[in-house]
Amino acid sequence: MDQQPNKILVVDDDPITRITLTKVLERSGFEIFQADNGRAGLNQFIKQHPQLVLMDALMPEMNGYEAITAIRNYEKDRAVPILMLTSLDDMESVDKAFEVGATDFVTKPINWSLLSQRVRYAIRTSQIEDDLRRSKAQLAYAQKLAKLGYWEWDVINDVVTGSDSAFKLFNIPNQSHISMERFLSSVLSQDLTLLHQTISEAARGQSHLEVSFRVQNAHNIITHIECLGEVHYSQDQQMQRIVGSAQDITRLHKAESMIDYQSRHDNLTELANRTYFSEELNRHCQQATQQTSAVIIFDIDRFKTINDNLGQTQGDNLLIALAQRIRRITRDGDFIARLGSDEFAILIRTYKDTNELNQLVNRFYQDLKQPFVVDEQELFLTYSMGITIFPEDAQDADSSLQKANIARGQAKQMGGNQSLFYRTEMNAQAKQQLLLENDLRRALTLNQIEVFFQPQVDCQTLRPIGAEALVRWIHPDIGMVSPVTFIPLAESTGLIVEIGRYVMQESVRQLEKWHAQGFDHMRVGINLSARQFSLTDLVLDVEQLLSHTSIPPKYIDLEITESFAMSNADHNIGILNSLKAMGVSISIDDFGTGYSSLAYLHKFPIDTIKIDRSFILNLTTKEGQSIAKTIIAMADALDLEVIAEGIEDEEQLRFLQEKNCDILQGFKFGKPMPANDFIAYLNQFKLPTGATP
Amino acid sequence: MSQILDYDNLNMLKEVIGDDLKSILESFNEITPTVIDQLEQAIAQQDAPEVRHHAHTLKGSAANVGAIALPSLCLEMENMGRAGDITHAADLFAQIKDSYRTLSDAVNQYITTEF
Repeated sequence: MDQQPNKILVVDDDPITRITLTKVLERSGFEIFQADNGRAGLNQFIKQHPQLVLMDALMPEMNGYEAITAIRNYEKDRAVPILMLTSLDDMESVDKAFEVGATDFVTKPINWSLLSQRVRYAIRTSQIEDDLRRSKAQLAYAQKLAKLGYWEWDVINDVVTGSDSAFKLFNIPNQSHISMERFLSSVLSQDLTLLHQTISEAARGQSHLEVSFRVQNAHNIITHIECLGEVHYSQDQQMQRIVGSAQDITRLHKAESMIDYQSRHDNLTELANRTYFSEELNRHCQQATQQTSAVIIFDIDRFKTINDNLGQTQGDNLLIALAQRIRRITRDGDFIARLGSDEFAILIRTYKDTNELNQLVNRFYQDLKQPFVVDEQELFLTYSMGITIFPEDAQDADSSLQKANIARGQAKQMGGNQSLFYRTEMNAQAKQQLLLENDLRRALTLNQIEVFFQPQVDCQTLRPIGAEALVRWIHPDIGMVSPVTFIPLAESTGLIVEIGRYVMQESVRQLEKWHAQGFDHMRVGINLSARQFSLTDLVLDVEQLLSHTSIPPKYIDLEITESFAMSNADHNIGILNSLKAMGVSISIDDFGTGYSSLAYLHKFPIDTIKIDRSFILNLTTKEGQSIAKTIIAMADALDLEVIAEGIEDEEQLRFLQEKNCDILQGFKFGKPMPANDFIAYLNQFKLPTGATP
Repeated sequence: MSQILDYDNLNMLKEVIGDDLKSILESFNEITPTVIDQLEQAIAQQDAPEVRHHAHTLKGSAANVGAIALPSLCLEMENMGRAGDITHAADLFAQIKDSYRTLSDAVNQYITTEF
């Protein structure tokens, strides 16, 4: 018996019966509560939670039937036994008692010796029922929670029985005479072999089963099921029965796959990440040693600036769009990944010959260069792409990644917008580049960066009208480093911003000197690099430059290359318009080398075009002459000034004078020279006081 | 003489609850006159439901202490009350009162001899 005495509520209006019942039941160890009518009984029931109620039928206030009804309504989840006290002669009240929910009845006069037994029995029965109901509910709940089902296979008769949930998990209606084959008929065919194997292992004596597989329902939804089972054998070791559970582990499986997926994929683009790419590359290197394969790594030129301009969200959208395009343009067998911010990789598992690889790379590059539409604007991207092939360049994943990366870096240093195959010497170059880069970082503070000036002269009078400022790096060990070498380096490191500012300031400082010495018609041409356009607020820089000088802005000529101007034309036109509004002059450098749309050229707020030196070199040919002639004529039509670069001899000079070119520049008139030398050069043209040039 | 008390039942009760039986029987003697008075009043007032109620109570208590004759008389009265016809209740009440008096003596005697 329980530690706590069972509580019994006695409801009877007859005090003698009540007292007798109380005395009798107390003797049997029950705790008794009394009530002399139905209402008081209900009240006590609510207060005391008795394990059993003895209820008289006929009572004032609320009779026994009403009281039972009230109690049953009050306590719905439990069935506390209520014994109705009734006369043997009153069968009508017995029926009525059962109808309202009495558990049993005790006839009056009460058989006292049996009463305690009956009460005890009624309590125990109800507790067992209660426990059963509770555990049944718990089991159902637990099974529902765990999506657990149990099943049993009678091997001899080939009949599967089980819980509804098990049949539901196997996607089979719970009917009688279900064979194992039928039971497994919704299991994915790929997984059936495994199950058959498990069963035959069980038949051979493997008494514990543990197997997971997939079940597909009519809507093609896949459920992952795990089955555990115990195998029962006869005395002669024949398999008799398997009893087991089945559990839906889809969510677990999903969670596991999700974690696995997330650790190997990039969240933003859902491409493979660096880890996964390395794994895959490793696997490929080990398995396909005889195959010629290639790794392509590329990133977006000037991505940081593009991203800053677009803002985080649009920048992300651009990367997503780029990833989608990479997916589209690559072939089925290619493995693609996002290695970092704007860095992507493609593993070309196999290709026929170099020719095919070249075509592939070119096609990728051209497809990638097609504009992206972001924020309803067309965005033209260029890339720096590096390619390694193996086993030729590298034998393992790490070194092929590393070498492709070197090639990519090289492509970037050469101004981006190109793809380079790795070459052995790149390794050495890369090292040298790194050293050079370190030196360049200190070059400005060590005054190693100098601005040289090359004269520009009037085509007819041949007197100086200006100069082009050209930056030089005087390296203490190497000597003069070519701008072709260090400008890309400065661009890739961002040092170009400081160098560019320094060149502008120094140029204007020299210009002030020239003007002060009477050459107040002189102009200076300053080259702007593409990177300067994107890395810094050029408009602000120029504004500050102008505010610190008394030189009228028109004497300052900012030069941008044709190819850069056209690469992001709409964006650049905006900036150039702002610069133009401040009064500076704008030139297009290297004119004729890139692809210029005349429509665009017309839109650019330019004053001057500079004919590239290659055309001047070609003036000896008819073809070269006609090109030069056409450019000059076109500039004339658009009311633009023309500067010809690279003039070295009399013939070139005569031709250009004939065609009414405006300004000439070249060794014939002077090489680029240090500031002091340039002043000395200028002084040759000093006119006697009072004369005008 | 016909048996007034079911002594087997009383003894059985005594076996179960021992000396407590004495107090129950004393309570019976104490309380029952009041119930009989209430029954008499109800008859006088021709209040059939009350007649039924008190007859029922008396029937139960008497049966509980092992009375043999009184419960059946009470049942008759109870039925009258339920039927709503208590015109002849006075006669029956007289019998009940007699039966109780005999019962009461027997109970007192039982108390004296057994405790």
